[in-house]
Amino acid sequence: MNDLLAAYGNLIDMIFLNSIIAYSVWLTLSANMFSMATGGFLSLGAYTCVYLTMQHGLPFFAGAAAAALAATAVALILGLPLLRLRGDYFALATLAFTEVVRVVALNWESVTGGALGIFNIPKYTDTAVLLIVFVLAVYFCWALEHSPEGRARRSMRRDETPAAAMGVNIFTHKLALFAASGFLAGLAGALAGHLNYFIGPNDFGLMRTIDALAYPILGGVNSLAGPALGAAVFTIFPEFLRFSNQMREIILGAVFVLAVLLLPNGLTSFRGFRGSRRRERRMGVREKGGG
Amino acid sequence: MNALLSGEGITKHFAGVTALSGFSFEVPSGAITGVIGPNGSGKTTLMNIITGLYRADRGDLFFDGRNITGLPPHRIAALGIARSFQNIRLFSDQTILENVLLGTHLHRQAGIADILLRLPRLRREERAAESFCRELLERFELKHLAEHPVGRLSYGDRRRVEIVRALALRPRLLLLDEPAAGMNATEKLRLAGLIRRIRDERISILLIDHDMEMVMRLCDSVTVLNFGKKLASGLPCEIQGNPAVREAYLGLES
Ligand SMILES: Nc1ncnc2c1ncn2[C@@H]1O[C@H](COP(=O)(O)OP(=O)(O)O)[C@@H](O)[C@H]1O
Ligand SMILES: [Mg+2]
Repeated sequence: MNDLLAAYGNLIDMIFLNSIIAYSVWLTLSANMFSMATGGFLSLGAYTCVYLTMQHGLPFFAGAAAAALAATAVALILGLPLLRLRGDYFALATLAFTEVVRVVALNWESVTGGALGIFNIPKYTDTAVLLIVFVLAVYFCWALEHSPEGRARRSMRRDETPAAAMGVNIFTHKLALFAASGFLAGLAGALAGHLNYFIGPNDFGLMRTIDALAYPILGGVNSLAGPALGAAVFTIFPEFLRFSNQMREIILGAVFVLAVLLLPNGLTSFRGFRGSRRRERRMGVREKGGG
Repeated sequence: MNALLSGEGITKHFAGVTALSGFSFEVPSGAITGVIGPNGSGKTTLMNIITGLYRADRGDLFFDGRNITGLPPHRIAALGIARSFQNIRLFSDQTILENVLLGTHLHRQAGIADILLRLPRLRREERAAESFCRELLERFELKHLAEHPVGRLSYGDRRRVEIVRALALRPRLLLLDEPAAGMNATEKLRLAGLIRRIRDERISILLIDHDMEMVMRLCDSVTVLNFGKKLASGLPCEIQGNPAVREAYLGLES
């Protein structure tokens, strides 16, 4: 019985954590940035926070804040040159960043513990903390969407040329959203670092980045509920496929491909997940037959 | 009369094609200025260079006495230059009102604190922007379409909505790229009335078209482009009687 509770508790924690990561990714995807820097930001956040709490005795709160700010700063420095690249090169360059962070984590033993990782990390992250950060992340995205900046975001996602002609500074908007994405991922990394007693350099690599991208894509980018929904399904679903590791990957992959092919707005395409018509339009959900 | 916008020696090459070569022009304040020319003569390229979408290979642009050569599109918009597109570019997943609201983007004041804390300033500003846009739609007889998605609009209405969106920017200069294309006679008449009303509100207009009739009827002065070069410029009646212009047009359209 206790085992069961522990198992589900863990699952709920993972749903919240992955949802926070999903909103971080959503901030980039919803502005036409296919960022693969998520793994790098998560890693940066996790190691920064764990380093500060374990080696310098900082309180968890301060370590997490420092982690988020460090990832924000790196996002700004990274975005400044990379956001001038064409979309596909941007994706590749951000992936290279994630890989560089992994290699640094692998080799900087005094800080990261090298290939062995860091053990016996105190567990500060609990369900309450995750819930609070999750709610704040959703609120942040919601407030942005219901502001002139959200309108500019939706317009430039649809067509950048007329948006710019109406005065939207596309570059600044993207840079700000990329930085916000870095902030959330850095914070999520800090939470992840103090969740499971252990972190290693391969926890936040390419696979973690692809999973993170899958959450909002599966859930639906054109709705605020999409990222959380996608993260929840993507986290719970594999639990039912525990019987076979290989089948798990295959079924998960197939479900994902089907969702992308058949559901234009991800899981939020289903009626039950849709809001009122008015809200739907506000969020920029595609109208049927819209030219 | 003072020129509000002027260009000197504008030249633009695309791989193998010279779209504009040494083109100079002036758009006086408070008037409707026409640029006509056959298809492919470089009209849209000119508009894209003015609005910062393309960069001229050579030449300079001046707006209100200021050199604006090479400024990016959002800076051009901030100076008070708004435009429509030849191939209408409304945001097709949004309502008409939302489309027009983007025109108020440059006039927003709410900062990140107002947004994240949802301070009264944000709501006040949003309400003001919305009523401003509804008024604008009402003035151009589009109010009844405010909540409609773009997809349900007729072609003529879409063109008018795009012009209203540009007006929401409160521009000093409005650039229109073939606004009458694809319209029937009634719609064209209505459009002509709309363009005159905009001029009467002291917004200067640069009207680009290959349809002689519309330009001749509306413009205070006309410049003719042919193969990226200025063929003639003057009053509409002068242009109409110009043999070189007739030849360029008749030669291409027959
Ligand atoms: N982006 C572009 N790339 C390549 N060629 C272009 C581009 N834009 C315009 N052109 C060429 O420049 C010339 C002028 O085009 P354009 O300005 O669109 O003419 P108009 O608007 O008068 O019909 C044409 O030969 C066209 O093919
Ligand atoms: Mg054209």
